[in-house]
Amino acid sequence: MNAHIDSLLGRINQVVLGKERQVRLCLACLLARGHLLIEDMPGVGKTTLAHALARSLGLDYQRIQFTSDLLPADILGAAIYERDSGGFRFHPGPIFAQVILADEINRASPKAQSALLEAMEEGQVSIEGETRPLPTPFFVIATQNPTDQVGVFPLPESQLDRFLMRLSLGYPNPAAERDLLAGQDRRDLLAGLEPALAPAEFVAMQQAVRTVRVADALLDYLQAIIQASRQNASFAEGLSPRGGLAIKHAAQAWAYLTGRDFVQPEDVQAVLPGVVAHRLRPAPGITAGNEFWAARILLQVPIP
Amino acid sequence: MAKRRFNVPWRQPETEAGPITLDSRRLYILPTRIGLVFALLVFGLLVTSANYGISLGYLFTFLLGGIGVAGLFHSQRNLLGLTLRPLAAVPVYAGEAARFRLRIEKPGARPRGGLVLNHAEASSPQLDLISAGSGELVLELAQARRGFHKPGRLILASTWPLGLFRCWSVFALDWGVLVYPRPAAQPLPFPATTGEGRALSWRRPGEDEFSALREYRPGDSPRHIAWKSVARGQAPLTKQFTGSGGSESWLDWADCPETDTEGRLSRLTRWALDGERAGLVWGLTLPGFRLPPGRGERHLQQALAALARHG
Amino acid sequence: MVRPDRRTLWLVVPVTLALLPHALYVPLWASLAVALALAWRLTPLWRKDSLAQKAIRILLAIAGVIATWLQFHTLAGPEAGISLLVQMVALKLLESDRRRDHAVAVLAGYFLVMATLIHHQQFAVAAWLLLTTAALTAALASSQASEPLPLGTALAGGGSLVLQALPLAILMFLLFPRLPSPMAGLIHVETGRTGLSDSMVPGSVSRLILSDEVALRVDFADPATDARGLYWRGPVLADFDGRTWRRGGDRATLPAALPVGRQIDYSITLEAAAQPWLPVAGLTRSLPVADARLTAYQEWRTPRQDHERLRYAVQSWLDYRLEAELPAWQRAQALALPAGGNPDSRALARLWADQSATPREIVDRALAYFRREPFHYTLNPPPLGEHGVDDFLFLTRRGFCEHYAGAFTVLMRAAGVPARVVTGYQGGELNPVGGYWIVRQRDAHAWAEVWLAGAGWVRVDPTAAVAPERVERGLAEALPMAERPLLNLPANWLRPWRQGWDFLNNGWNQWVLGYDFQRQQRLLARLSPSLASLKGMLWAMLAGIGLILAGLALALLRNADDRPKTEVERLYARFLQGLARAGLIKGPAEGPLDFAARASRGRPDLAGQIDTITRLYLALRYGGGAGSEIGKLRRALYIFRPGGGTASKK
Repeated sequence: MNAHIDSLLGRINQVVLGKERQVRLCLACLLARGHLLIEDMPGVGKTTLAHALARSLGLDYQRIQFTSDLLPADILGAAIYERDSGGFRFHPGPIFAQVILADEINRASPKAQSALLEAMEEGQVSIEGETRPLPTPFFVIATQNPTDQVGVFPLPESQLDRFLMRLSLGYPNPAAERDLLAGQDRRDLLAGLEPALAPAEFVAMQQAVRTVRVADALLDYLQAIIQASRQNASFAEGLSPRGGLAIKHAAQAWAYLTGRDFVQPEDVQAVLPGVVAHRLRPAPGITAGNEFWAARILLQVPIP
Repeated sequence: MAKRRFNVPWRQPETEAGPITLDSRRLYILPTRIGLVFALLVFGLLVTSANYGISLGYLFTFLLGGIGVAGLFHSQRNLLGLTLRPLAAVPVYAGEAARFRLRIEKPGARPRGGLVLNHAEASSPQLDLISAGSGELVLELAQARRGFHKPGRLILASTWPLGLFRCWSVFALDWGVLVYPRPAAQPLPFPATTGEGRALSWRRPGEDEFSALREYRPGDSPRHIAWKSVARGQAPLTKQFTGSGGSESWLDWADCPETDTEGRLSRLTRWALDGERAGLVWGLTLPGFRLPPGRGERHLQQALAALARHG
Repeated sequence: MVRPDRRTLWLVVPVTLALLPHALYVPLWASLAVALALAWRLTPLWRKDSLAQKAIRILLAIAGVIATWLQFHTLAGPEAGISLLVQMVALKLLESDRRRDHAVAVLAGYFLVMATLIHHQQFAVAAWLLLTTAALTAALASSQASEPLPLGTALAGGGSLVLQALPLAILMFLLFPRLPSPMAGLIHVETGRTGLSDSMVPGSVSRLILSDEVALRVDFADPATDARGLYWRGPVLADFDGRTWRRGGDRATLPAALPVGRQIDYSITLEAAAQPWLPVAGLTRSLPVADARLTAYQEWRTPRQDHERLRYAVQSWLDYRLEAELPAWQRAQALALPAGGNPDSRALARLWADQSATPREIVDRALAYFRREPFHYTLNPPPLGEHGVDDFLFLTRRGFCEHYAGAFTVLMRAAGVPARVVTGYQGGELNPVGGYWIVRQRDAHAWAEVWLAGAGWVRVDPTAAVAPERVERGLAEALPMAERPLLNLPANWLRPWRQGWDFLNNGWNQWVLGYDFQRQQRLLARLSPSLASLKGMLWAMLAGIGLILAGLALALLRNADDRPKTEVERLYARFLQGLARAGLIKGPAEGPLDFAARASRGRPDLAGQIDTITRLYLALRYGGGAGSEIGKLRRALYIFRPGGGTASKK
């Protein structure tokens, strides 16, 4: 399995330069069966990363560009009246794919956003009273611009935690920047990216992730983190039980990617900022510039 | 390496982020009044023993002395290792009391007790952690003025276990409560709606009252399709409705009848609360601050926070 | 009926425990008033805030003061003061419920404990003292809690405080400088103590016989010595009025005495008694008791009419020649008989005198008479008439040692041999636990002394002629079977327990109660001569206190986290300690692998070991590693010695 992981990471890193850690986190997120939200400035390669992930995983994928006039039906599909037959026929929307690239998700209206978020949550969509299952595996890799940009609708906070991780990429380091400037067009590279895995292999990896051992001592550590988040004056609300599970699953995936069959505290620390930052609400009156600052507080929790 | 300044009792302590874990360098200890009486008693017993040559009396006197000394250690041990976590304080209106909740966790199973949080103005009720591993000390402090207020210097003290010694720790936490302005007492009519205005783009026209028909677009709910026209063989049309939600108001600093700053803030606070209760859509304008119209709890909180922090 | 709440019980019960012994000393009305007050406090009738009850309490306080004054005609002085204190403590309990009142009541309870010690300091009292102190301390702790503590928690708290206080208490007890003598002397305490007395009528010694109390304990330097052969000499009775034997008048002259043969060493612990006599066996030249003096009759006594428990070392000669020359006043006294009494006895004595060549022969005839005729040794002699000796010698012939000693002396005097009665103790019981002898009041005895020319005063024990078992094996053996239960002797199976208990009591008396200036000096001097000075004691005290405080701090303040640790955690903690000594400290939130990487950078020489240990630890703690791995970790830690080099600083 290790060879597969290495080749997978290698292929993505050929396209997305100098972001090994973020790429690894993204992969961990998908291996933990979670949806991924990538948030950053326009033009730092969010979409490229999302594409590279989707393509190299060998899953069938659809891209939805979110715009302000996007309607739920544009995502889910709709029963369209056909004049020929005189009846309605369901036209499935782009959501019926294994990987959805939801680009600039916060440009769309809340209605369109929630159509996607509900589908993510339930693994199925209900259209005109009829429930239709989504394929498995089913992932959403969403990208969004920072919320302080103009013309955006922030995702509702209560639904943000449907994403397992929220990551940001940041500017590339100088070496990667130079390669970017000197190298090929990313789009061409993407087009040439071959899947590294067969779909069945990816599902097998997902199942293996769930068998990674989480010892009692590590559960103590997780509980300490969860408790700390709930008892800190900086946060209005701490981590929900779902948030706690998210840390565990992500840490399992991270340990799996390292080729270990048990989770150790460093795995938790590696995934913690990505998993918890969007789940914590700063307390009123506390001005938190960057919510990742909140996650850093939790990294200070002593390991029992 | 930065030298850590100790929180000596007579100095204003440095503000810390918390959580604080009490180590022996943070703890101070002095006898209580009962402790001094106890010392006097022990001395009296010693004199009695010497005076009458009571040998067992010496032993008893020294036993009591030993109990006092052991009590001193137990007193320090009672606070040692406790972790203090400030919990977020719920915002209050000026004139109300804010509840500062300090969470106390003990590291082991040993009972801890007699914990009291003292502030210059008030003290919390006593907390005993006998079998429980953690508990909360609640300090209620009256808040007279709006703004973000920190309690400042706090003392966690205990005379546990014997009441002969008081062990305490002084600290200031990066901890505060947002105090909203006191809502004005007299109700005034809510500022008039400023017409159709710029509706929030996602807030689609309400669905209460039928207003017009328009051409069908994919994605419209079949329930809103005008089936009669379809039956007539025409192109499908979709019914449109309008509701009351379309209009919005502005709560403007300049519109307040009051002239002083606090009065205006009180008025705006009252309006904001009234607006939220009535389910209206409203925005807020202060000198140097503008909150776009909206509604809901979070919107109200943002407005109240701005009012609290104004100036 | 509502049960009193636990908080109230926690105050009332320990304070009652402290009050209890005072019921023996305070006036009865005070005891009753206190008992009623406590009962009132425990019933639902008691109201903290009732104004009427407040008034009643004030009235009670005033009444108590007046009654105390009426009883003692003073409010000062130990007895009146304690009586007043007892009442005030009970009133304090009635007063209120606040924390400070609880504390004051408990402190008063401590003082009541001390007041008890003025009367009682026995070993059993020490147990009561520890229990009461623990209970009072627990009550003090209990008053601090907002909810009354569970009984177990509170008692464990109080008990552990007492236990932790003990080392300091013992150290201070041993080293705190004692005064050479008490500042105010002992409070005089009335007790109905039995003991030897200055006079003897038939029946006075046999009353003592029924008492089980310890008279004295003897510790011989030579453990093989058998105390049963020894006579502990008490008052000498030389005046006889026909019925009662009394001590003769005191003279300034001391008897001439010559020791003969070998000397024995022993020490005596004499129980407190309401009489001045200091019994010794044989002849001794000096007694190390303050102001002890010798009388003209070779008795040792204290100047006062009573004494506390005394302990003295004695060197004495069991054989001696006392007053080879008899002074005239002694001769007159030792031959005097009241005129006209006991005519038959006198006749018998004169007959013996006529038939004998020497006084010694007269003595032998008398002893032979006692042996030959059917005399009985009994605790229940029949009553005697006007001529007591005649009645005894010729009619009843049943009697106890004082009968025999008295009758024998009368016979001797009638025969012209100077004679007198000596009282004291004879016999004893070995305590095998402590290797010392116990002489009880039951071993009180009376015998006779005759003066023989050339030999001086010679001891003659006529009882031995009648009942040799009395002298050889003790009283119980000499008595008829039917009378033995009267002695209140313990059953055989109880004997070891009694001996053990006596051993504890004796040790307690000697080492705790008897620990005075002299004993402290002797003990400290034996440990180290420099200790026995005031300066030495103070230094030793300071050093000891420092050590104990350090021990307490180490035991109580070291580890706030008392969560039990697994072996893996302990081993890893050792690893971290080792690295911490080398200057590499793991942050509380630092992962083990991250720390290992950092530590390896700091100590490249240890990198391999650090890596191995960290890997083993992680696999065991988080990976559910096999049991065999723990052995590897143990071995890896065994050879892990980071102390050598120093961390390379950046």
